[in-house]
Amino acid sequence: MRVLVVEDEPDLRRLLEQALREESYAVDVAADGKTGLYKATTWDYDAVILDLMLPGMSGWDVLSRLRATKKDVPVLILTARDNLADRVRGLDTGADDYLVKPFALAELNARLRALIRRSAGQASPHLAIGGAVIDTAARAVTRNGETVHLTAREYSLVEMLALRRGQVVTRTDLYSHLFDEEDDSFSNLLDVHVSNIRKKLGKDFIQTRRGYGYVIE
Amino acid sequence: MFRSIRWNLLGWYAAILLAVIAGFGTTLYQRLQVLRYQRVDTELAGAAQLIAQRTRPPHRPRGHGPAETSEEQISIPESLLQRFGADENEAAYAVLWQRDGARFASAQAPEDIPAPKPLKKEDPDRPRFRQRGELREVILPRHSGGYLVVGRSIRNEEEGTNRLVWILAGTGLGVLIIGLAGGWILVQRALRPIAVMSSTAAAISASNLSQRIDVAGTESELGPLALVLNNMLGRLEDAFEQQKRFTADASHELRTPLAVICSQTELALARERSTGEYRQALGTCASAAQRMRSLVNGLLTLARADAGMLQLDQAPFDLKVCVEECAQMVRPLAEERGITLDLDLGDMEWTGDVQRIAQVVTNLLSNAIRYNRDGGRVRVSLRQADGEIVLTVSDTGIGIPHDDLGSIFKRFYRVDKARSRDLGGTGLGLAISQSLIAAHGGVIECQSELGRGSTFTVRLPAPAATEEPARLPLAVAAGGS
Repeated sequence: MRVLVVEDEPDLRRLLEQALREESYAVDVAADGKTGLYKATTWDYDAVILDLMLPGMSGWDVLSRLRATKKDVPVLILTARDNLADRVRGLDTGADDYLVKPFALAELNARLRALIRRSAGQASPHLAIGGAVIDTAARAVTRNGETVHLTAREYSLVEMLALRRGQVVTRTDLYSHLFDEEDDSFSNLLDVHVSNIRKKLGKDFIQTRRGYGYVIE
Repeated sequence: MFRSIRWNLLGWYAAILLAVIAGFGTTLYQRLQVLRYQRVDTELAGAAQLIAQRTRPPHRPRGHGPAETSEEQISIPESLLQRFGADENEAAYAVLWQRDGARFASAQAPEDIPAPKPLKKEDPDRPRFRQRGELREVILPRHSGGYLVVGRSIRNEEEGTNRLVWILAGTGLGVLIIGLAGGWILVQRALRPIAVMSSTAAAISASNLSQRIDVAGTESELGPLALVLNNMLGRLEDAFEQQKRFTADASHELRTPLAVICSQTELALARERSTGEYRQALGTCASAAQRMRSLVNGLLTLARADAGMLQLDQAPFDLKVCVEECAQMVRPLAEERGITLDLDLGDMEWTGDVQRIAQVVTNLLSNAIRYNRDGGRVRVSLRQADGEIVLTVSDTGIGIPHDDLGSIFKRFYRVDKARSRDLGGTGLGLAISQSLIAAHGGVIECQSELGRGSTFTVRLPAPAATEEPARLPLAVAAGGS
């Protein structure tokens, strides 16, 4: 899962980046509104965390322009502006959630998970596929009641395919959602991850559509 | 209630109306009374003349003794009786006295009529009048001595007068009631715009200060009042708006470092970390806490200055030394970016709070370095001119856009939000400087040219002024003690 953080406060930006990486997100950052808007419209993110008081272009402008480009990426506003009018305006401008600083990282993570799950059309945090159950809250997978140990990236790959169950997800899509700007891994890393997942969850858990991508039926 | 303008106005109105009615009624009554007596008197005098002619003895035998032997007859002619009316209330009578005071003839006259008091000089052509109870009498001196008294009752006139008094009183009361009712309506009409204005004003509270009193509906003298109120509301709204923005800004500025501390600690505690990571986390928290501390200190200083509770430790010190020390402190910052600090300082003994002045100087110097270009120059000069001490700090930096020049002393105002945030400013420095200089009785100004640099000028009252305790700018400090 790839997330964009638009935040002008350097310490907070760095903290958010680190915290999200530790939650196995691929994270891109932007320090001002213009860069934020550029990145948000250029790449596909699973969620955008947006500050409102930004230099150059305000968070409001970023949000309304982003929505004008028909990008339906979930946006979570993370701001120190806590009054009712701002919260209402934020949600009405097209944000999906609103969190006021100071905030708890646990809450931010939970809201982010919910946003991503919802935007994939899933209401329940548990996704059952065959004998496997994916717990998106605990970021854990069990198979026939037994915990399956996956690396963070393997889990992300499983979650992404599971959230889009039945759809063929292209390698490009997978790649762009699992790796951020700073990753310089080669795309054949995907094959390695898929092969490892098959070893742990069964040969047919992920099916290959040659020339298209992967799918979990 | 009776102290209200309404009752006050009505009270005065009633008093004036009453005075007018009473004055008018009294004058009318007196005038009519006089006219009525005059008529009666004229009638009586005419009758007396007529009777006097009739009672003159037509012929007196020559050689026969004096007049006392002759019997005079007195009678009131029928025509007179007719004129006076047969009515008992108006019945006329006539009495004739002789020179010796003996009554010797009368017509229809009661017995108890007293004889007229003789005057020193009687003029038979000038009758006099007297009033006895309800009787009016004319006294006509006779050529032969003695008096003719003709009188009549004036009960009818008296009754007429009484009737008139009642009519006047009744009319007056009616006019008073109608007048007061009219006055009440007028007062209500005059005060209605005030009532409307006051109810509008009462409905305006801190939450809806954007409301205004309808000026179009208020006529004449109340229009300016409504305008004055509206202007006041406008200023109040501005002040509230400013306060709201300041509070929002302050809360925003405090929340951001707080968010850093909260998320940093949460993140650091989420799992076991290396010593280096803990060190970095603590460093981040420390710098955020430091920023909060300087913000809180700044806000506190401003709040104290606003409340007039800023404590100034007034003591004599050398301004030159103070500025030099500040320059020494910021010199590493300047050298880092190759900026030259030029000091042109004259010796200047001054009395004030050296800490606060140093705070201002440091703020100006660090701004001049912060917003300078690399390899630029900062000039600091201190001199005395026109009875004031002038400290200027000019830089060769980015300058301030003309539109922003008026706002740079406002709290949390940043010309370029990105740059200031990265440079670690709180957005309060100049606002605090301005408050501190004002507390010392001075002013701080700024001239700037975009791209060429800015010059900040601090003007403080010269030492001569500060030696006189009475002129010490202690107002702010005094407010706090």
